[in-house]
Amino acid sequence: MTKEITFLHAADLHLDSPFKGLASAPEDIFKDIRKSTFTALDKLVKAAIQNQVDFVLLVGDLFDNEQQSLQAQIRLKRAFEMLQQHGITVFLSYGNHDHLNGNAHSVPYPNNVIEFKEEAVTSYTYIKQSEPLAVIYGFSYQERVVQNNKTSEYKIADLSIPFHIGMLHGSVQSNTDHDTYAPFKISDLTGVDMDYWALGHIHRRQVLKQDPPIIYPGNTQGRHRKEAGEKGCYLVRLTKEKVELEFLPLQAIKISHFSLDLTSCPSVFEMEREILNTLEEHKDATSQLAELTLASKDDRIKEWERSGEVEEVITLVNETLTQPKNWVYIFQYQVQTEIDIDESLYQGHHFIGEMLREANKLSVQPLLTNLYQQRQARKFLQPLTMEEEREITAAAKELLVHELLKE
Amino acid sequence: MIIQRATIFGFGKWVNETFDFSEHQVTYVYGENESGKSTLHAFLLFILFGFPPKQSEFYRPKTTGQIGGRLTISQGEKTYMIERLYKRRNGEALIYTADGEQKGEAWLKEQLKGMTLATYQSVFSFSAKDLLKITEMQADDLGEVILGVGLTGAKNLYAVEKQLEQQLGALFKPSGKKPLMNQRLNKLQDIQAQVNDWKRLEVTYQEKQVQVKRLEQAIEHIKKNLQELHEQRLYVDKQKHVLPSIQAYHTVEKQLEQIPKEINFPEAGIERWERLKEKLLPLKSEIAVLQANQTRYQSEIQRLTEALLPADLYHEGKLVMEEKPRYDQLTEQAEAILQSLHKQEQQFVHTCNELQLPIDRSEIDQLQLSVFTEKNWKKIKEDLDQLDVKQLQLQLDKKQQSKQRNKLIEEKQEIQERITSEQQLHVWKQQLQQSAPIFVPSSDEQQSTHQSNWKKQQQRKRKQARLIFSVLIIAAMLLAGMGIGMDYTALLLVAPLVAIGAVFQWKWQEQSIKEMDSLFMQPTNGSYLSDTERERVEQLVEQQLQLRTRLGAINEQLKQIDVQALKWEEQQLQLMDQMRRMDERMFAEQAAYPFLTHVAPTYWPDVFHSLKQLQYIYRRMKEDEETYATWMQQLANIRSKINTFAQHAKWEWSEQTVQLPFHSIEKLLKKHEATANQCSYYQTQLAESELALHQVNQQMKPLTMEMNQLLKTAHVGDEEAFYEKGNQKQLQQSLLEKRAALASQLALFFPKDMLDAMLGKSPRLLDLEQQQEKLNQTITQLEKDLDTHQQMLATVHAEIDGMEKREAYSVLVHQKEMEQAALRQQANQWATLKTAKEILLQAKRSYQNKYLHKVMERTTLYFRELTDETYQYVYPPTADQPFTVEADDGTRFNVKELSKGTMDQLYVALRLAVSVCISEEHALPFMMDDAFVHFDSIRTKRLTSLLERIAQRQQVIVFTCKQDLVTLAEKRSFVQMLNSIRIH
Repeated sequence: MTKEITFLHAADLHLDSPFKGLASAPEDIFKDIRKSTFTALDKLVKAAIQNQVDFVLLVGDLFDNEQQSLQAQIRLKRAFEMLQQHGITVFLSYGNHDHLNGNAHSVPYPNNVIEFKEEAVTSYTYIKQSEPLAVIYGFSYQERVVQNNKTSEYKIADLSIPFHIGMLHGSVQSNTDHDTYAPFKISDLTGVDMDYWALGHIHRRQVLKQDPPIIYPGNTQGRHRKEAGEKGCYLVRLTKEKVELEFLPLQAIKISHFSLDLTSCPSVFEMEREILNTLEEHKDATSQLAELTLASKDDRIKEWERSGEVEEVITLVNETLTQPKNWVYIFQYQVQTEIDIDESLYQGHHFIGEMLREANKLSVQPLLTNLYQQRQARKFLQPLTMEEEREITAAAKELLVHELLKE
Repeated sequence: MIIQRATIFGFGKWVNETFDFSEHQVTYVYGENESGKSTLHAFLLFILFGFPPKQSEFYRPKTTGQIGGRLTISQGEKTYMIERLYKRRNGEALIYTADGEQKGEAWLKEQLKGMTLATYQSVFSFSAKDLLKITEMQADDLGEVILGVGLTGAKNLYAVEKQLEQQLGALFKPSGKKPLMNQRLNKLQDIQAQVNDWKRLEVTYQEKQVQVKRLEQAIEHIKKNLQELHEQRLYVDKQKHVLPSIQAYHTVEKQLEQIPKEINFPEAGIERWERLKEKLLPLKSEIAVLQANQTRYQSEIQRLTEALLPADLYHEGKLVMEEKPRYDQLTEQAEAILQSLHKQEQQFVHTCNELQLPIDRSEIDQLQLSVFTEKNWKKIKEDLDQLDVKQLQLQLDKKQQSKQRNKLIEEKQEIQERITSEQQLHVWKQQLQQSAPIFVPSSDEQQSTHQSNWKKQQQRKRKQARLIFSVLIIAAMLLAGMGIGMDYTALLLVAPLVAIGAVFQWKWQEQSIKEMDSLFMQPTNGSYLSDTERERVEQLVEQQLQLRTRLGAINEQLKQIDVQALKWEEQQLQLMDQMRRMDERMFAEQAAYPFLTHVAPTYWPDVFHSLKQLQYIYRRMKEDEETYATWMQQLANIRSKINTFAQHAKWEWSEQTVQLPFHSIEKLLKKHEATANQCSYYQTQLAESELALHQVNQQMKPLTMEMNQLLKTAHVGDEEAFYEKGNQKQLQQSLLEKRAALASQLALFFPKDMLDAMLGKSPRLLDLEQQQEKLNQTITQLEKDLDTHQQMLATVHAEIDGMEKREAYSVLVHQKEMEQAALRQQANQWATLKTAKEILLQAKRSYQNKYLHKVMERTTLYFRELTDETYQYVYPPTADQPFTVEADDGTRFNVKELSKGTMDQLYVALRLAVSVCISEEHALPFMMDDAFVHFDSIRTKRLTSLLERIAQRQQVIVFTCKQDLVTLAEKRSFVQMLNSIRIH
């Protein structure tokens, strides 16, 4: 009989971490969203049980130390207990968000959970039917940051054991999108004779390499407009000969983007119908948080936006689509018109021209100190990025031109 | 840039129309309402700037599908034509230059120098409506509006600015509360505070976990302790329970130690011995019985033999006993005689006592009592009785006489008392004879009554004295008689004394009567009488006469009585004599029988009979006494016989009765006989038991041998030792068994080592109880502790459970995130508005710097012209001063102080100035749409001339429906009449 192990590989569960960029939601939906990370965890447990896996790998960032909630760990504990009932081992390491020294509540986990508590790489042997079947290597973040390359610490311990799996929470050196923690090069990883590299930290699912598999499973539940699409874990079947990978979506709520061209809509009613149609078409087995891009070549859409009509339509659509299960909720939208401010205006000697020219010279930040430096506000508002500044300036100019030239 | 011609392919109502425009004059386009002048205006703008599709569509002609047309433009030396058709070339313009080149939209935009439809309209669209709006504006805003318009031409600059301000204010104020963002911030702060609270609470989770662990450990520890203690207690309990067994074990042990380990003893020795003994025992007891019987028999025989009387004594006794019946008979007879004697004696004494005579027994016996004596005594008695009767009769007669005499004497006395003196009687008789028969005796009578009374008394006294005298004399006589009869001299002496006394008493009485007589016997005096008295005296006299008769009778009777008394005295003397003789007889008898002196002669016959009886009794008694004495002698003989026997038998008894010795002797004899009988019986018995004893001894022999054998085996000498050894053996056996039983019983309760320890050192009950008490206390304490700990644990568990179940923190965090996202959106909005506002202000400042001077200069010029030199200058606002205008007399007016007309003029001047300034830069035609509808003719005229001057520098097109304006301008301007009427 060929030796085989089956396991789930997940990371970045970020249990009970709030959804970013959701300004408002009805109570029920808010509840679903709030519970989404837990739901994903439940699904993970279910998947593990259904697939009768040997163990589950959780590669860091299971919860967030900032705004750490007891609920997160309690749920985690319960999940582990459930797995324990089915004889499934859990290997887990802590990442930058749930680093060990920042953990306020150490909830005791059941004994089917093996924690990598050292910052140095250590290993545990997984024994199945009294036969050592796999060695799992890993480390945990003691502090928020691990800056050195940890790959050299991974050393295959016992070659007689069939499978070797590395758990690593960190990012590829070249990656600039995320904070680079425990940076590594792919070649570093391939340099160690692992049968599987279970990575964590990057929320987007990525297969960096097929052989040996070097995989970011992504997070289990999108919590940001950018974390769109299916989220979940990998079901891995390892034999000496081959690797079977299967992605299992776990998300409770899917984050979706929809772009609509509304140029042909003569009124807000058509726009509403258009939006509804689009969303109905894309209904899914899970609930969805939708982000809409409302594009139009017609300037009137801006008018509708300013008058609040667009928002009304969105509210209406949201109300229409509200249902207990598999709901769709538009949590964000952008109105895009192709008609920008006429470049020629800048050259005019009239006031608008003068104004536009002045606007381009103006630095936004100092103008906004009233708000951003206010005692209360600065606690809850992050400083504007350059990008945001630009957007604000553009919006301001547009607003002014529109208002001043209004009949 | 000058519009020379407009060729319309189709635009609103215009289809295939061409309009020409003047180059250096003001072009007036005149038309009535709905004549299409506004459409023409729109067409010009459409070609120059293009319209959004919707707006373009609005102008689609009804007849043709084409929208658009051409404008012929001259710019300096160059001329070109702009063609714009809706829906062709994407609505973009196509420019045909004079040299045949075609240019695109971009080129056109370059020519327009940044002017767009909106900006163009904002600067140049100048209509009647604006003026209307101005009048409606608030005075405060007016200055600002005018400034805005004046500076920028943008008429809604102020509105926009204000709107921005408002929106910003609604969103956020640095220290506000109501604005939306402030509200949200407050909410966030609240949430944050709650989050912090929860966070703090959740931090305690860790502590609680630690607490749980600690408590669990503590509980575990306590439980373990408790279990140990329970075991200990159980052990102690068991020990206590089995303590008697343990102690018993120890006792057994000790007992065993005292017994030698090896004991020689025949098997079942005791039983065997017992069996033998059992057999032996009846035999032995038989022997014992036999022997005891023998002994008893022997002793009995000996005792009985001793008790037997000597044979001669027995014989003597027998003889004595033969006397007994005779003795008894004699005794009985003697007794009878004795009793009879007693009776006679009593009779005798009784009779003697009855007689009461001083005479004894012997005297009686010697008395000579013949029949004569008896007769004599009887005669005396009879005579004496006769004498007595006689005497009594005499005495009675005597009494009768004296009584009769006394009565008569009394009557006599009484009459004597009543009888008056003869004198008196004589007096009375005289009186009666003299006078009438009246006579009153009065006090005399009384006197006589007294006297008669006394007489009676006197008589009574005399009688009394006589009686006493006679009694005393009789007494004296009696005394004397008795003294003589009884030889009692004292009485003889007393009798004369009594007689003397009687005489004396008589004399004394007589004396006292005489004295009294002297006292009473006094005469009474007679007196004179009345009629009645006379009658009375008559009666008295009669009475006196009767009395005197009676007195005589009485005296007669007295004499008779005295005769009788003399007779009686004679009889008395006779009697006395008889009595004296009688006494002599009596004295003779008494001398013969002196005892008769003590007896009245009357009883003498009776005494005789009694004495005769006494004599008889006396004689019989003497006979009986003699018989009695004989018998007594015989009895004494018998007693002496008995005494002799007693002496032989060595008895000692006081000679009281004879019956007892007889009885004793009889008993003695009987006893002797019985003893002899018994003795022979015992001897027989003794012989029999001897024989039996021998047989039993024979039977015992084999048994004894076997028993000896047993003793030998047990190495003992006797039965006691044998038993002792046997018992010892048995004891040892039972102790061993008992020990084994106890050991096995204890082994049930305790493991071996514990048992050994316990058996090694026996626990004490007191220790165990103390231990138990101590253990119980400790256990109670620990149980209490356990309870407390468990409760605490439960509490902490509940708290943990509660915390685990609570999602509040999670909810808050999510809420916070959501609120923050909303805040960010609002912040973006606010930032945009704020930026816009800042841009606007900045632009306003820089624009003012660039154009203010130029615009003001021109405004002043236009205003002066429009007001026909009434106002000379217009000054822009300064920091503290709004717009001001200066009148021709140098007075300055605040813009708010201006009249409406002036204000309109100022506004128009400003608009024109700005438009002209901007137009100059861009060289665009200046188009006005009926701006002056409301102007009067003078103002219109001033305006037209002003426009004409402006038109010299740039193209001016005025759309109007005012006929007068057209008429006014006709001479110097180009007028385009619509409705296909060409004015030119």
